[in-house]
Amino acid sequence: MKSVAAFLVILLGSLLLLLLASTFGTVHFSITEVMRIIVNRPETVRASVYLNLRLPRVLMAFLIGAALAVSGEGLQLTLKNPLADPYIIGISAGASFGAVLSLFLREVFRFTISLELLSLFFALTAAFLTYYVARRGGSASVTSLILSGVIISFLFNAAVTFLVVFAWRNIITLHFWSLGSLSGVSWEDILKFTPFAVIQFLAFMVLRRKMIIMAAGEEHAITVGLNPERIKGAVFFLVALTVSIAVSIAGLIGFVGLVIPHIVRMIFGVDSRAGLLANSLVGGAFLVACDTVARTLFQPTELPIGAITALVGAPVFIYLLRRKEVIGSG
Amino acid sequence: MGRAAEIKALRYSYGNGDVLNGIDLDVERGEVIGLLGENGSGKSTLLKIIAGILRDYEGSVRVFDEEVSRTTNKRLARMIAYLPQFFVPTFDLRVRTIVTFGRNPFVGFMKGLTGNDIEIVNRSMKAADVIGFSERLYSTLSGGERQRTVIAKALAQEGKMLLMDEFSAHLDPGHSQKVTKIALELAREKKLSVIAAFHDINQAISMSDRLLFLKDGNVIALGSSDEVVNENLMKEVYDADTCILENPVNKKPLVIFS
Repeated sequence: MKSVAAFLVILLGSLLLLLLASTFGTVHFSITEVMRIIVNRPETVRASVYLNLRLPRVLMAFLIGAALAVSGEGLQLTLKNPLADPYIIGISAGASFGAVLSLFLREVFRFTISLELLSLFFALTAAFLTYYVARRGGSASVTSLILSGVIISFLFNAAVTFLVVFAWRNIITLHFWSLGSLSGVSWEDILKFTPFAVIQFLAFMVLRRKMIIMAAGEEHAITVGLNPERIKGAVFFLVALTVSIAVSIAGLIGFVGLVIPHIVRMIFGVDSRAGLLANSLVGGAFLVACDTVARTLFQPTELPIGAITALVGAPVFIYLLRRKEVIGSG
Repeated sequence: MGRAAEIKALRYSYGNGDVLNGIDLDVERGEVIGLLGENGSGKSTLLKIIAGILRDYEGSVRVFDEEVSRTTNKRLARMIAYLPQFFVPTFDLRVRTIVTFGRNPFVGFMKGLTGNDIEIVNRSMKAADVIGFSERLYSTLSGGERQRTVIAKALAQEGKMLLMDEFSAHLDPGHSQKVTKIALELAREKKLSVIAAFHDINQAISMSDRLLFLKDGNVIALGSSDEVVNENLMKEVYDADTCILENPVNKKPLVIFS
């Protein structure tokens, strides 16, 4: 009963936050005005600002936050590593490299290849590289996975910098890209992203029981009939899929996938049925809040959103790293 | 109906020298085999091969007439339950969740657990006496309670064979004896075939039908404790001087390290 109540609070809280966050910004709306705009769709400039700029941006933040949290949850369970997150293990950097490479090829060589496809390919490459670099004697320990993730990220980020400076002689956009930003998000982006987020969510629902078994160790998973390599492959693929689309829309946003699953576990425990949905809601609400801070704190100037998530996430990472049992169980 | 296990000329290497050098072993149905030898003698490796964890072995390992390397993990898990020395989940789980893992080999791809699965989980928790704390978190349990939880998980698999890898060696002697006894009594009740690696030789003697001694990946003795246990063998296996008496409790040999 307690967890049902907690779940309802989270559900209502995140919806309320979504609504409230959409009122703040360089143009300020009151809640009644928002209601009127949504219901009547008047043809005013203010309504257009809300419907075409503000609302898609807030919704996109929610969707990406939700998908990143779900990704982090999946990676942490499957790799039995409380510090795993798509950003930390290099998937985001790989995706970013793929996206930039596609732009680069088009700009410099007039050669067109799907940005999303290339992004997905390198996100997957990064995931497997990180995993196999870290793997010793059948398993990857908590810390070695993080180390190899950092190195793989460095590698891909360096390659991105190289490509960007070579092709465009421009560091400013690179900066926003590598720390993430949701400015300029449109309804098309939402339409593009939503199916992948939904597919990932549903697949993780099906895989969830197996992921929790994996969290108890790979040898154990084999002895109760699972095939660990296949599950890891599926999770890597699904995470790479959503993260590569997210990166192509909003750049690199770290730490959401690290922090949120821990918060949800503190409330519901590891093996709760509500776990995955709670991750979506809390992750979505978290990123909406971060984005609201990013665009209002120094308005009209925007902060990159990754700077805000890192500000929250890095202390949590340090806290988790310092907790002995986390490392001991590697 | 074939034997529970037939192992022929089994060799295994982790890449730097052989860990197992040609093992032969037949296990009858319902038999309890006690596996003994120094650390590094190949006990764990042998158990992991039978459990399907290490599949790149040479030779033949047949369990209930199926070659392990050609059998899926799922199919093996329906026949064999494995009790490791430690079971430490990275994230904290409730006892019931852990016991339910044992039903995984029977769950269809899209379907969840059925009422029958839940019934079996409850029955297993009763048998291993963990039902009283089924909603508690694993991290809050004592060593003995944790091992009983793992026993309940193994029972929920409803297999035909139980593998135990020094299952309770890290507990204090009283609890170790108790937990191992619970596992073996339940195994005998359900007529499971058991291969168990033991840390304590007297525990192995009192609980097994036959003993298998390994040294450097070779079988150096196989048979009932009356047949094989003597001072010379102990010297060879453990490189220690011993004195062998009759155990007043069960009339089997009692090994005293002198």
